[in-house]
Amino acid sequence: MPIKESVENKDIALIDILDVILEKGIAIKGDLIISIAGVDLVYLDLRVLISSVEKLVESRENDSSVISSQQFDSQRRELSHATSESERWPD
Amino acid sequence: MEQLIYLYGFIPENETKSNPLPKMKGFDDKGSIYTVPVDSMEAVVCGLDEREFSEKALQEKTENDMEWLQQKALHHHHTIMDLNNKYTLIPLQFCTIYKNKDRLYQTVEPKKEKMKNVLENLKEKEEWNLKIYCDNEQLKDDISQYSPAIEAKKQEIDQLSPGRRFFEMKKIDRLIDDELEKEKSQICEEIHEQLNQFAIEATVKKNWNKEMTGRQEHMCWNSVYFLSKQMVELLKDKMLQIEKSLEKRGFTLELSGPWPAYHFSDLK
Repeated sequence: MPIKESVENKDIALIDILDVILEKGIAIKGDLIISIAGVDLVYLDLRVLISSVEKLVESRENDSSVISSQQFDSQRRELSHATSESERWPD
Repeated sequence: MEQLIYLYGFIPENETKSNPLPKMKGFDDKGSIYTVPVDSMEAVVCGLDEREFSEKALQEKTENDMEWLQQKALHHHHTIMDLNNKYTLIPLQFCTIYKNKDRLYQTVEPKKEKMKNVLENLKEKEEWNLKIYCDNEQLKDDISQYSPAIEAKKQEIDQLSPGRRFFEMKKIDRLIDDELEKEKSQICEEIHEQLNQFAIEATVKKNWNKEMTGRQEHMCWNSVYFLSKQMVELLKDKMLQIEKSLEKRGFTLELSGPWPAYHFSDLK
């Protein structure tokens, strides 16, 4: 049965795992007090981690010199735009 | 230097006699998991080096090292799942750690009778999770076509001048939105009622938003069922039957399990 296999094959969303291991199963308390943020905060932090790894891989796959020169160029334009603005509107 | 004790859960002593604990790596990825007898139960534990896993170090890691947290959370989950597949198990929360064995005994002592009862109650039973998702647009289409209230309103509007019709149509949109929410909760309650008849106990949990689920559809129901093993097939059949009947209305039902009895191991 495909339904039953979903947990047994461990093909289960990380969020489901965090939900039970961080918030449930509190039959008894331990000696060490470690306060872990709620499942939503931890999960969103992990999502950021996963997506930043994905972005890193993506940008490595592309020609990195093109990306950086484009970024540099846009930053330069923003800077010169800001400078000309401040010249027109002096303090 | 004394070793800290990381506790995964409790299993009945007699089950490990007939089915010894398999070799499994501990939380530090170095040592092995072993059992400590506590009355007629076995605590499943592993040792941890106090210097490496102090309260401060663990707090620091869980706050700042997400990769570590993910890896350790998965370790905890996989260990608990493996134990749950072999034994009747009271699963414990992530990072339940004692200073030494004596502290573990002291903590369990006043609770052991309750724990034995819980273990007895968990025998031959399973925990299953149901999540219901809804494609709002699909259900809205369905409502706007088939709802008698909406249909009556539409006919009323047909008689009006084009200008007034525009404003009345806006009202219909709001009416459809209201109907949508009503319909969703009513359908979910009905599904729950039908599945709950197979369960000994059930808990309704909060829904997660789209940011959490990463899905297009809205989560509109999240519940867990505690049922005897022989009821599981009936629950699944019923679930599939309900899902089929609601497919065209935009509902998706997802049943997952068996989970360790995280929601039904409380020492009440």
